[in-house]
Amino acid sequence: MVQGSATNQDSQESWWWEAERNRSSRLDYLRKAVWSKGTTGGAYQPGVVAGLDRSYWYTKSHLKTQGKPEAERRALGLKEVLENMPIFIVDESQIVGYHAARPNELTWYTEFAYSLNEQIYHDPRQTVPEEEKHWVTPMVEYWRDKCVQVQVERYLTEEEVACIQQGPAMGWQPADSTSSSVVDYDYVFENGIETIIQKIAQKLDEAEVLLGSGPGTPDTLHLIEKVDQWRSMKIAAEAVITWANRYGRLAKIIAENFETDTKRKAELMKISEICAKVPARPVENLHEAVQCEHFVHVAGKWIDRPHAGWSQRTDQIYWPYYRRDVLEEKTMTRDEAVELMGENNLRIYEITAIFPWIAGVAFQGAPLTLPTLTLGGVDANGKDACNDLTEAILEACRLVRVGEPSYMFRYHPQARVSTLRACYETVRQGLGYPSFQHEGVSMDTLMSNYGATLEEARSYANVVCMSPGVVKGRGGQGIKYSGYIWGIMPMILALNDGFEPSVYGLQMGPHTGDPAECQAFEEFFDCWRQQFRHAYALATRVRTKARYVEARVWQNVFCSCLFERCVESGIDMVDARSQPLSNAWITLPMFADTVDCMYAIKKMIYDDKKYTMAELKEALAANWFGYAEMRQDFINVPKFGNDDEEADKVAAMCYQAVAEECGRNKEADGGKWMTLPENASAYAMGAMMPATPNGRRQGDLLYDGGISPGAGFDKKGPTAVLRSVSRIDHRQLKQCLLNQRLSPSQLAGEKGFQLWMNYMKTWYDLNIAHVQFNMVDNETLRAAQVEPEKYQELIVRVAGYSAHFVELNALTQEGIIERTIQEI
Amino acid sequence: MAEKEVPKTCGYCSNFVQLLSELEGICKAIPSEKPGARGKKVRFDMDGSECPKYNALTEVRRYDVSQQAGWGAGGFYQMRSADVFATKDEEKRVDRLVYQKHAEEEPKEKKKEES
Repeated sequence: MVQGSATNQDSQESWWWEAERNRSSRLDYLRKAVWSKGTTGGAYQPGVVAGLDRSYWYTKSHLKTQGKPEAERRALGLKEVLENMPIFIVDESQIVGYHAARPNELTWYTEFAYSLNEQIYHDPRQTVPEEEKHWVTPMVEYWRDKCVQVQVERYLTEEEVACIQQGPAMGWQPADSTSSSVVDYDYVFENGIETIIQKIAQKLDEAEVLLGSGPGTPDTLHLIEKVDQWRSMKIAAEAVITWANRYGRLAKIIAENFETDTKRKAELMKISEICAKVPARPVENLHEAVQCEHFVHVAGKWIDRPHAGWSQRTDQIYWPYYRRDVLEEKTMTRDEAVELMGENNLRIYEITAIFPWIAGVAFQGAPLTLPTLTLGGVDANGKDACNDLTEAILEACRLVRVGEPSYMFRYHPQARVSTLRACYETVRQGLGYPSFQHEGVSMDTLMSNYGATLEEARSYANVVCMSPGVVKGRGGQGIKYSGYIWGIMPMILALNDGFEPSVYGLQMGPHTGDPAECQAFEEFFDCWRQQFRHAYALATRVRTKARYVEARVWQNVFCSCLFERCVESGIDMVDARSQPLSNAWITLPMFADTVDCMYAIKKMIYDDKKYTMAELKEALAANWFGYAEMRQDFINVPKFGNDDEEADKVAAMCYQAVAEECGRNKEADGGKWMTLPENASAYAMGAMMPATPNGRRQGDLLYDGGISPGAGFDKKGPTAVLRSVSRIDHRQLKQCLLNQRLSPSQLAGEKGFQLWMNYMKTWYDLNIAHVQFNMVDNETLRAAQVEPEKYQELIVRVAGYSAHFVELNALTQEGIIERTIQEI
Repeated sequence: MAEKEVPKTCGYCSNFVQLLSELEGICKAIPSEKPGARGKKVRFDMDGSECPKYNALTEVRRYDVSQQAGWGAGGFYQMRSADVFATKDEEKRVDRLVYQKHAEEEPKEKKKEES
């Protein structure tokens, strides 16, 4: 352990001070040197600004390369950036690589969306300094009619454009500029980029021989396209090696000209050697593996184009190197490995793009890109994959204590107890992660809905915060599939004949008639279902159109080199033709309130007939003001999460309906669209939504998960929550986010661990897909509100991510405090 | 200006290089000669002529805000490539991008004591 360990501390306030005392001096320095990119009420931390260099160099290249094939323009743009953008090395660091010129910068991708550009350009946070605007202005203007958004909008109807331009509506949103992919790092580590370049060069040689001397055939057409792609991939891959070498050069310059400390000089020379070697050549030890992964991830998924998530099975991809270095050859101590994994967390924590104000409001306290790394699970043979590195990573998390990256643990009954104890201790010390996914349900979902084989399903890692994606075999997701539907919106539309009355003032859904004319609950349910049918069709259709355009003008040429099938086929990873196994889903934030709304309508209007639909609409239009007694009646209707069979039955109907409606749609590659109820992306946005039939007023938060009971409504204990949640068929959903708060005092010590183990066994036996915990008491949270300066290190689980509590706005803080603390 | 330790290779292309004596002219313009001072320019050359593969005039700057409160309390070295300084306007642009205050590096022992 690094200068002591992240020990069990019963006093919550001491966890972070204890971590600070116990982490190495290097980790402590790096922890303080890292910049938080989370937002408070939409505002970035002081000193965080837009990074302009990537756009500057990319745009400069774009101007020079007119007339060349689009894939090649992408590659040449990447090359220009990688060869020219300033690079830096932070003192004490062992891992290098960033997507902007300074560590306080958030990269801006001006080629993506004009609407996003305008929001950032006019950002009230002044992330673009006034004195820069004389040259930023023409750059923004340049992309106004060339960006990806414009090209997608050529294929959209007016209705689709209107929904998108309203921002948090439905479908493909310009504000959501990230892709998300799953790379098989074993392929990269074992080959190195130089070998991949050689393979590409061989493909090019073969193709050019055919094109230059063979007969004209139907394949000639396709071959021309492939040659363009291979050329582009080769340019991009060579540029990434140059970029890595630049870091090696800088490390050497610092060592030879600036650094006076002998030990640090030696470290810098080692960094220089590593950067000269990886990612060009195969990796041979843990340090090289971590550096190689960081280079290819940052270059391919942040500089080439941005990707949310940080999809990988961290304790599996690094395990062969850790085992050899730490356990067998002992060339690295376990302390040094923990330190390296801790720094890896910090390097991931600092990376994100700049997003508009409204996205910052939605993702309170988070760096917005939801990097989630996967731990645990089973190996290719179905045996427990937990290892000493899994526990070292969790120890590193407890030592550096940052909100992101988050970790997800693939829970199964054979997981070794020492690893489960490490998970428990990490959650108990207030980090809110790892979250837990049910190994059996998650794998069944991938097999039964997407056609993954058992071996493929066993290789899965989370793509972003919640969604599993296959890594091996036909897996390796190349592009973001997902779109969004604000889950409460169809309820609001069903109550208003498809019209959204208070936020957007738009006819956003089909005319399903005045709900007052529905004579039976089933009729109203069908109206709501039709709204969902329309929304899913819109979201999946628009996403597919965007995918067509992205494959032609927003290729991911370097990342394509990391996929063996793209190297073989000469087809870009974002092209549907390169994806043999689908992984499409529509994220469904803000849905969980729906089930209580639906049951309240059924009981109050159709079963008990105490109120009419017209009266409900009046009360909602008045935001429940002037309807106190009626509101209380609607609040008092039994709520989901209390093991109430009737309420749970309606909930199961709702989840089944959304799964079926989403499943009506097919992806471009022929795969099935699934839906994923969660709230990772929009917890705080819920306050914007109009009043709802569960008694919630506009301005109040919505429920906090994809299947979490309403805060404070789950009154019958944790088992009742689990029984209610288990009445939903989780295999029909992509995943489903369940937040729970547990009592930190009850779960202290060995007895607490055994209680938690019993809880997890019940959770697993009930086939519930997901659960995650907060274990911070209200006294601590209240104290942090009063004296935030003393609680800078306090972390809580917000939705699909964790965040520093004091960086959340007051509304979100209250929402977390209001969640029921369960005694188990 | 005394330059005792110099880079031996060009990081771009691994060609052996030597620091040119003409570099002194550049270095004199730099406000401080202390190790860690900002704006130290290093020119790479091979056998007396510019590296043939890259226009490898570069600048390494030192930023140190390790004493600031809150996030980002650390120091780092930043390297820019020659192209950034193609014109005077460009140089001004980049200079304005310098974030926050940057102090000269303090002795590391002192920093450790204070922390």
